[in-house]
Amino acid sequence: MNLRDLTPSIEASADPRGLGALLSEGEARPFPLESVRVRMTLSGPLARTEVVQRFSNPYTAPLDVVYLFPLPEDGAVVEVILRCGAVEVRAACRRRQAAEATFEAARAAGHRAALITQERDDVHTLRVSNLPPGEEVAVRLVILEQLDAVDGLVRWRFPTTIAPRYLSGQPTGHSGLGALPDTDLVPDASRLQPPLRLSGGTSLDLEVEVVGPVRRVTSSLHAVALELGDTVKIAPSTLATLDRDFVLGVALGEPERAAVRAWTDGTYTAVTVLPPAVRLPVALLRDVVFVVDISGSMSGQKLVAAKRALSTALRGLMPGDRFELIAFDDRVERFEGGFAEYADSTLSAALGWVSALQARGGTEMYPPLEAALAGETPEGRLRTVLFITDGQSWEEERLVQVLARRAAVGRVYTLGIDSAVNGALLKRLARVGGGVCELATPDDDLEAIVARFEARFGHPVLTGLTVAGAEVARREREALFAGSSATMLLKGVSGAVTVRGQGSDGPFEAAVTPVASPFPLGPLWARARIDALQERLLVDPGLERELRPMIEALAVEHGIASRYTAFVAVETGRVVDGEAVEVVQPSELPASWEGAASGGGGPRAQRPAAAMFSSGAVPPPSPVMPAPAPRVEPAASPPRGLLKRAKRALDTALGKAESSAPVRSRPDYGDDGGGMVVDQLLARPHEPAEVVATAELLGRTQGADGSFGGSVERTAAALLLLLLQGHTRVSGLRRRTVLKAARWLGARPEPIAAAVIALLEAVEAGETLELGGRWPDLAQGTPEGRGLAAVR
Amino acid sequence: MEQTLTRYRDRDLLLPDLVEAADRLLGEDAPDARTVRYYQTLGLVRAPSRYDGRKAVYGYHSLVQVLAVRLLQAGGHSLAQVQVALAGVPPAELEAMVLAELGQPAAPPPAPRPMISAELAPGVLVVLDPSRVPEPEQVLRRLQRSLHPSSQEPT
Repeated sequence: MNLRDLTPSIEASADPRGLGALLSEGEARPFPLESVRVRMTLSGPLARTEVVQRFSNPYTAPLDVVYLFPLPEDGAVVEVILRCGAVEVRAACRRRQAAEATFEAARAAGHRAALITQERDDVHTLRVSNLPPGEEVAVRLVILEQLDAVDGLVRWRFPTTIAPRYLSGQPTGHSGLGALPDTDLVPDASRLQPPLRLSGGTSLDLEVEVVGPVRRVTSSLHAVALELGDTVKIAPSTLATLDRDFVLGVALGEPERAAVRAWTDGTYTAVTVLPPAVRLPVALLRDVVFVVDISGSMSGQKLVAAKRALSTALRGLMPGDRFELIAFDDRVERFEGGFAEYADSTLSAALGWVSALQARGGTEMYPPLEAALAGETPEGRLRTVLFITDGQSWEEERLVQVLARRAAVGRVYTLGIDSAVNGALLKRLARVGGGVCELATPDDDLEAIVARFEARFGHPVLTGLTVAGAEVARREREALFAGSSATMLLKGVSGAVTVRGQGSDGPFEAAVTPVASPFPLGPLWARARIDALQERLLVDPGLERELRPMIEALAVEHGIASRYTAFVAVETGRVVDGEAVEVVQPSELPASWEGAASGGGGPRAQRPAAAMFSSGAVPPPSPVMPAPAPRVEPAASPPRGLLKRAKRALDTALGKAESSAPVRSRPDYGDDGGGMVVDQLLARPHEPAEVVATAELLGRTQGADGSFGGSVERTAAALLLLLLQGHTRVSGLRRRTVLKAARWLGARPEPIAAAVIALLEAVEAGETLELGGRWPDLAQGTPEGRGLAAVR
Repeated sequence: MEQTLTRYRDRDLLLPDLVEAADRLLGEDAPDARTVRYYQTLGLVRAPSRYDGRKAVYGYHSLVQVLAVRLLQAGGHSLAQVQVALAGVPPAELEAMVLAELGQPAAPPPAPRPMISAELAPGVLVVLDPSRVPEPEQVLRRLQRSLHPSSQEPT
């Protein structure tokens, strides 16, 4: 046989037109991603999401598309389907290298094909090959998730864009298809960052369907409309694009009375545990380190929100606590350079320091985290680190490692603030740091969020959760903090499940019979197990040879995406002629980012001149929460007698006779009378504005020692006022303020102090507060006394 | 020195070389190194083809893209417009446009990679494009075996 060369006939580009031709036709020419359609179905804490990405080829040559896109970080991708016209090809889940080889061969042969690889927990790459000019393909993904409930709300965050994130380290190469190089510190960086889109947006068609009754819905970044029927459908009520997370909170059906619920598919079981509401742990004095991100990406709205969060957290410190403030961009700035005692003088100096912070450079997270965990924590003290940031850095390994190495020093809590937050990183850091992650948007009420978040500072309320005979997907999930549920995924149990653990005041045990799961739970179990392995690998990369095969085997067995497996689909029915041109789909700048300055990108991604382009940012819609009226549950009958005794004590202390006229009862938030306290803090539908303002004022005027002006009367009046507005040590937005006031009063000998404390305890035990008598006379002529009188 | 774009065709360009080349060809519209890196984050300029230690080595097409961006910007178009306009333009077409814009003669197209053909059986001629078929010779052998399952390896 003879091999000989043929000279192919490739037409020379005979058209000598200049670049201007591009612009006349260019205005109308969009990018390949036409639209994204998202349908989520929620039943209990289990969510199934279908995502359809539609691509077209508006160009003249065949097209290879590269699309780097985010998905919920805890989700398991279980199905991918490529649709070319009437033909649907179901993708196979393979080891990554095998899938890539299949795709490359199909691409070279002129076939239409799709490859989905996972780069990070939240970052995926889709490649579509040989899309002919003028034609369209669609890629459908199915994602399963288990959602956690926090303070009574099941929360779901669907990311739509990857923000420009800062890249640490020195460039070493460019192995991937993204816009940034690999570096010594982030060796996978070139596979992560999509190019930034400067104009226009891709439309998002999103709808959530909730099975079962819904009591309340919150949406932080989109105005939403509800459609009530057999199920509740929730969708953005205005045109949405891929420029912000969809942040949903749903209070489901009956208030959660049972602490434990379970779902099963026969082989795998999901058990959700809601810890009981408990008082804030008060045992230890704390050394609190606040670390706040002041990199360029925080500028504008986000820094304002971060400062508000930081100020609220500072005021929430307890007498005896010490604190340190660290602000960072690519430099680290400290308030004192050591721990400061918490007193009125240091508090006001710290608040001044915070308010003067300004956003500037790159996002180097390692130095401030290392500084926050440096040194030793003295006996009898608890180091607590609160890390406030948008998380917009690509660094991961070094951060996880410093937290793992210094885990004995203290707990790390992360508070993410952004409209497209890096939740994957912040959740991971909190998990490794032994704390909790809270994600907020700049539009949220940060004071309320911090007040609730504080309830989870300190120690977990439930630890060491086990289920006899079951293989738990990941042990790290077994520590629970007040107010937040967690779901354990089990293998090898059937029928009733008994969960045992250690509560803060004794052993915990609860039995539950699982109900049928709406979908198979094996992929979720595998996803959680892979996550635990991946975390071990991050902490100790030396384990790769041991752990990687385990991750691969689990992912292939359950057919889910992972860093080592990928989905590939090839449509072999047709060969597309012509050299394909590659386009990397650019991603939108998140809403609420200041202009198009990609400060998060730091030196490598910063724009050189402000005048070079205009931002396509759209003003965010005001959050609307058209919640159905909360159903008020009949309260379980509380223990009687406590309240009467407390009121008598108060009257005696005040030396006044009781009148019969009830004045005002505590607002009924539809609490379930025990167990989980359903929080209405985000919406606060019942509280008139001036009442809220008064309670807010109390949060700000309280002294560092917990008193109001050092006066027993004023502090008692303030506490009563808070109590009348539904704030106690276990519920309401001002838990911290109440706790501090109560502790200060508790140490005072005056009868009125004891009386108010007794009243507080009665209300916390479930009694309804109806104060009569002449109690408004308390602390007359002071701000607290006036506030108390005004409540009438 | 002759200032033509096409002389950079098969050159490796470090970032300073790329900037210098753009400077020679454009004069005062040339970008600095930082701006070139910024264009990369917008997907306007192809990533370096390789790294020499920590130094990025760019290919010819990156230079063509830098010139295209600057020429369009000099024409009063915003970067946002440029980003949309340049997406999906085949490299050879973009080169021709930049040459036309610079007033330089269109260069002959680069020599295409030769096709491989083989006569598998009398009258059966197969043509393979080696740039799109990995290991073409093996493919040919497999094809031939499928035509003549009992035959010997092709010579």
